[in-house]
Amino acid sequence: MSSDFEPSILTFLCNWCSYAGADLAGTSRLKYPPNMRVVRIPCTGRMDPVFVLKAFQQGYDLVWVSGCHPGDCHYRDGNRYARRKMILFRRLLELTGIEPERFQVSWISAAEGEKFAGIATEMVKKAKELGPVRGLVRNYDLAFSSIGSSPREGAGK
Amino acid sequence: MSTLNEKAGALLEKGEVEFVLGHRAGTSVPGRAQPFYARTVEDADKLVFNETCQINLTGLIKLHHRRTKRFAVVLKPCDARGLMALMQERQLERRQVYMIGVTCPGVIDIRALPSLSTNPSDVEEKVFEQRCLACSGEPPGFVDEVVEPSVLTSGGKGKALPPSAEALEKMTIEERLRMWEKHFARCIRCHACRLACPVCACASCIFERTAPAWVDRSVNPSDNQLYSMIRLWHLSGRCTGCGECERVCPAGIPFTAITAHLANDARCMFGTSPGDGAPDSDRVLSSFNDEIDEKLADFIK
Repeated sequence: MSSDFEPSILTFLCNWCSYAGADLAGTSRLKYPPNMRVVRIPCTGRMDPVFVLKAFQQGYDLVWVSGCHPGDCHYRDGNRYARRKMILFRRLLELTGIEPERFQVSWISAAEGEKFAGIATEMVKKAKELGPVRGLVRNYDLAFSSIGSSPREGAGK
Repeated sequence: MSTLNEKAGALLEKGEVEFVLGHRAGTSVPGRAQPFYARTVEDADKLVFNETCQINLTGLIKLHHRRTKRFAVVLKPCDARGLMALMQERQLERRQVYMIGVTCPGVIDIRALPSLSTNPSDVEEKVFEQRCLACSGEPPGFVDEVVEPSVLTSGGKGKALPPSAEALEKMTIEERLRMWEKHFARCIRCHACRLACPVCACASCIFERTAPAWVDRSVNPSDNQLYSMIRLWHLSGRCTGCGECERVCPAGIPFTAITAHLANDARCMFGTSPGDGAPDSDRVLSSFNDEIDEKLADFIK
């Protein structure tokens, strides 16, 4: 893995807490790496692990979901249902050979701008450690992604 | 305890059920029994149950249960769990079905026979399906009646996980990736796994959506893997580990290595397993428990 590998991270933020927290990080001019693409969802309960699988297929190296703390969900229990899905989904990733650490979750409230910036920095660090995503990635040049690198990196290993 | 034929005959004679769905001796391949809809008392005599009854009849029931008022079905333990899982999801009512339970000796893997024309009774060393190697063979408590077993040999070993699932657990992430890439490269996207699965019963299936089309229709390693992973995700918390997907796959993809874990994980993690208990039992992904979930979700920052 080259030292100038810049991971792509797809981030799902719940509208009521984490998205507001990210906004606070912005208005407070806190610095964090720019590798995230953000998708705003009404609640982590809207998260479908199929989105995560599609993201890996498209070449995102890590998917990060953030929502309200359990008990603070705007829709009461959305994040509790989501939590179970996440537990089982990480297990499925593990069983099929995709590092479960590529799917990260956090609870960040609207007031936790600093936490957002901190976790964002951590996510990029984690993604750099894990390297480019393998498995599921659509690579039209080579038959198996495990014998080649991600499309963004060019020639095979 | 009455025999299967006696019980089926009695139900049909009294007109309590439209048909008794069970198995009869296979006509094309001796190692595989055929599903059979017994509608008359004469039909009832043709019903058999033995180690060639591999097919999960719940996979058939899911296709027509809305058109049938009341019916009876012969259920291996794995079949019964699949049917109960459907009832837990309100696909059909408990009172619609008379569940005839059988003690199952395990079903043989016809791919392991020397040839498809071999009669399994001529084979000394029977090779059972992967999922049978971790099953006690005992019918669940919720069946209406258990009938006399017609085969006394036992193939199930009653462990928590079959050998393929245990082997997968011991592999590293790298090794698992290579294993599944190798297997999914051979997938032909025939969807037999989806058709045979007792809990793949959505009226509107995600794979039939075109806007958005979640999985590209082309057959390539990436979309093949995505298809299976989406299906396995939709089974998480619902799969009973019946192993039909592995049995019917023309490419021989060993799904049981994963599905056995899906069923086992639900039980170990959340104390509730799909297809066990009653129609109104808690379902894994439709319920939550703060204490249990918080501990399991220790990866959340």
